[in-house]
Amino acid sequence: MAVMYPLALILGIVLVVLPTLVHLLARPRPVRLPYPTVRFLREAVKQRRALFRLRDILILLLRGLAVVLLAAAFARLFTRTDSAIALDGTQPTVRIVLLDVSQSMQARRAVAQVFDRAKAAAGGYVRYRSGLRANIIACAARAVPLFERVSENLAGLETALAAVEPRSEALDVQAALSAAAQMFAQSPGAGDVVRELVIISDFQVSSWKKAPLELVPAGVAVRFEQVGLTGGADNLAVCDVRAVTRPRYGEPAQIAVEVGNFSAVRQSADVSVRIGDAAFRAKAECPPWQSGQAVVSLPADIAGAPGGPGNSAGGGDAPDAGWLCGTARLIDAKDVLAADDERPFAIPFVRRHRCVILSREDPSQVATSRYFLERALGGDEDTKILNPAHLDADLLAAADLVIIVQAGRLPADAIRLLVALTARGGSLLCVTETIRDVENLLALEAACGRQFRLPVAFSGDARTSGAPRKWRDIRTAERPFKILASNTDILGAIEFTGGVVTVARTGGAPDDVFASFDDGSAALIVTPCGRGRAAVLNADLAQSTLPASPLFVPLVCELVEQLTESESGRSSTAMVGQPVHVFLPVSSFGAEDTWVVGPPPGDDACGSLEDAQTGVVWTWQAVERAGIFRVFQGKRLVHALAAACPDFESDLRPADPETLKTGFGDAAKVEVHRVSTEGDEKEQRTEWWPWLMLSAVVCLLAELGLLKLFRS
Amino acid sequence: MAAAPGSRFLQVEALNRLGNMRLSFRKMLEGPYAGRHESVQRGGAVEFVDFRQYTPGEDLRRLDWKVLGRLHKPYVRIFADETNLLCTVLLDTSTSMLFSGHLRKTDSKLDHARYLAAATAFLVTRERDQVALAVSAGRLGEYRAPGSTALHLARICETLEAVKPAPETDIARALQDLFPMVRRRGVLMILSDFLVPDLEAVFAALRLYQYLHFEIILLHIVHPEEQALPKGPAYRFEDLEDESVISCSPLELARIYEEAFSQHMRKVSSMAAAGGCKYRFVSTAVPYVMTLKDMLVERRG
Repeated sequence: MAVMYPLALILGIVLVVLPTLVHLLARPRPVRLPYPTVRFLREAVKQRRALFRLRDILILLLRGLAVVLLAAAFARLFTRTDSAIALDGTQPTVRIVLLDVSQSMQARRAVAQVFDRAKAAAGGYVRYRSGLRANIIACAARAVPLFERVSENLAGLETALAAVEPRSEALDVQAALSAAAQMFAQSPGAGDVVRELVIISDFQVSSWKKAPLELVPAGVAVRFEQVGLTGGADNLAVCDVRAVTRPRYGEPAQIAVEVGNFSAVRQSADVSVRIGDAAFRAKAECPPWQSGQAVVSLPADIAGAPGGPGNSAGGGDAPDAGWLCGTARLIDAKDVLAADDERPFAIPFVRRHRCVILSREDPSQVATSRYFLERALGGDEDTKILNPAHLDADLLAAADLVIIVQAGRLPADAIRLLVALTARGGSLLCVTETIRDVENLLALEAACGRQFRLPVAFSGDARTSGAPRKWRDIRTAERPFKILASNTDILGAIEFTGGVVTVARTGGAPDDVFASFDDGSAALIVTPCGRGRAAVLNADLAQSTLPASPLFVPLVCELVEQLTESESGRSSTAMVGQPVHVFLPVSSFGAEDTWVVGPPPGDDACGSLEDAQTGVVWTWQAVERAGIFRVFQGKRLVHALAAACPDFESDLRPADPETLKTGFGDAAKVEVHRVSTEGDEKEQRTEWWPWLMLSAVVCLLAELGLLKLFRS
Repeated sequence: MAAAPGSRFLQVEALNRLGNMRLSFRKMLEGPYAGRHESVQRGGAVEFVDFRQYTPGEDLRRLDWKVLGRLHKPYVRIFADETNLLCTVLLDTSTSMLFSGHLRKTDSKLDHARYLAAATAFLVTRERDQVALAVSAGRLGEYRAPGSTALHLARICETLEAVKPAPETDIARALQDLFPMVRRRGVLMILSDFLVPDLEAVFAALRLYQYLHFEIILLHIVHPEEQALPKGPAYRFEDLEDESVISCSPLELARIYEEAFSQHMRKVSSMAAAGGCKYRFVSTAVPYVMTLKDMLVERRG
């Protein structure tokens, strides 16, 4: 128990004599009165004297108490709540402070930044006291301890703390708690060592809602130090930037900027999109707790410039080197977090797909599956036919889509190249005319491991059954059949004689089967394979009426688009603090001739570049900062990556730490403490002045009641 | 009748307003002289009372000849005798009778009693009745033997003027002292506030007079400020008799005091009723003439 203004309390205690003085001074001076019936008065006095004495004592006590209570109220008497964290004392203590340095901690109202308060609070917990060993872990997407282990060098820890700055990352609670648990494990100490964990954060509901609190070791006293803004934290943020239509060279394009409104009121946001020196503005209307969209139209000269205006480093002379790189920014946003008002983006231009057909068939043969597919794809120069017996590894590695048809048994090298291809996002289309073609799928499945698993098992050739099969159970609401939705009757009439009989596989994903035959066999399968997709067309096109159908070419083109869509239209984005693993397009350049240019200051390393069988691979354990990272080979921009913070980090709504306490069970020593906006520790203490005031009033009222009681 | 010169307690003009009202008494009296009051003696007055057989030696003037002629037996007629009144006034002169109020000043109880005593003496002597005055000062103090002359009234007034309050008074003892001096039945009027330590002793002494068929009139003189404590924040009450002191706030004790005082009054009243005494509450706030008038009217029936 302590007081904020001791002088007031001392004054109050001195003033306790006031009621006595008032009693003595205000006591009426009796008027002398000779009286004949004093005997009756004497009896009355005798009868009431004890009561009067009691009354006087009680009134004096009540008055004195009222004065003391008022003095204590003015002195702002408070009690420190029983703290789980021993700030004082000399008991050996290991204290880990998890300091949230995520982007949301940059929120500020007026001049008070949340992170400043958090740092001040963290400093308070590592202030020197005897027996204390401590460490601070700066937590965002990664948990970075300031010292390697807990230390008694608390002064050094405070110095290191001064250099900690918030990062444009989201908080990974699991990583933070794991780091703390690991730190505790490294510092077991003796049995009498107190272990304390202080978590200083704004406790965003998006990060803490499902916090794995079970990671905190048993016996550790936990304090949640809440430092977030109080009284509502309205925030606007650029959550995403993407192309509305897939940008193509020489054509106007549209970019949609998604603005998140993390407040309870409708907001209007002015958005500026800057690409190179050009700037475009749009407005987004954002309903409460929803996002609005601002669409920016780019003229043809912007979208059509080789390499795009954002590609200042060399510009590039190849049309497929183009990227739309820039930033979308909110103008004059009245919110508490400025860090999320700007978001970089890097959108690649759509380019023609490079398609490779692996087939052992004579290219001069016609009316075969390979022939029909080749013709459906247009047979232009971007479609190459490779014989598996004479593989061109470079050509295969540079492909976006590999069609395997009548390829026979593929060699192991080819399988390995295909696995690498899917690992960097390439896709496969396998036509299973016979059961032999299935062997290649099984080999691929074995080589990809968990990255590729077919939903069905193949049991034999369908040809042996004789009767032609027809499609049924076509998922017309999804690609590739979505564009053919009005012609499903035609699809149902198509007959297939070849193909393979399949049966559903235990544990397989039935949603990957987009069409089935009337015998229950899968007709078209599209399933993830590595970072790309693998499609299985279970048909012998030569024995089918499908190629003769007017729907064939659209269906094949849509299927190819579906398989290669990941490479176009979307912004190339990475989350700050998260790892990056990019397979660069195959070229003649090696890792030595490849470099990454990051956003300013740009003087630090941006991961590593390594030569791989499929080309150069850019690997970064954790993206250090937000901005656009450009990868150049020679003078050519081959890849761009926009690093930003996840949009959920912009939602500043705090979780209720009291609910977090429940995650520890009743036995755990857990408490919640709030650092107020003013920076003082209002919540750590229990303020008594309202109760003291009330008690003083009650005392005075009791005095009045007492007087009335005794008078009656 | 001329007023006693210099007596402030005898206000004849005020008493004359009472007109022909006179003191009347319910009991038969026993006086030395003929008067207007019914006597225990049977005599030759006008009012017929009864017949009685003639006894030789009786006055033949009272023989009823008509009855003798009719019955052949001598009977005498008996008439009520009328005698004069002997009224003894006992005045309590204790210091408690000096109270004249604090906020509401009136005559002191003693003065009020003296006015009443003088007025009574005047009324009694006006009717040629005899009045005696006894002053209770500790025990029986001054005593003026019965008389009915103007001179006697003047002496009574002088005695009233000369009354000195006694710090202590014992009415019971005074009554006992007075008893041998009063040989004939009459009226005993006690003017007192009855603030005595032993009220039972007073009424025990009064029983002496009861045996002699005295008509006893108790005039309980009370000041209004005695009935309720004066308003005010605090008083230092000094007892008029024993000089004891109590300082207190009247507000705190008012109810209890009023209860105690009214109980005292009820006690005096009830003991008077039990002892066959006529009790009358006399407030000093009411002019004594009014009090006297009410009493005369009441007694006249």
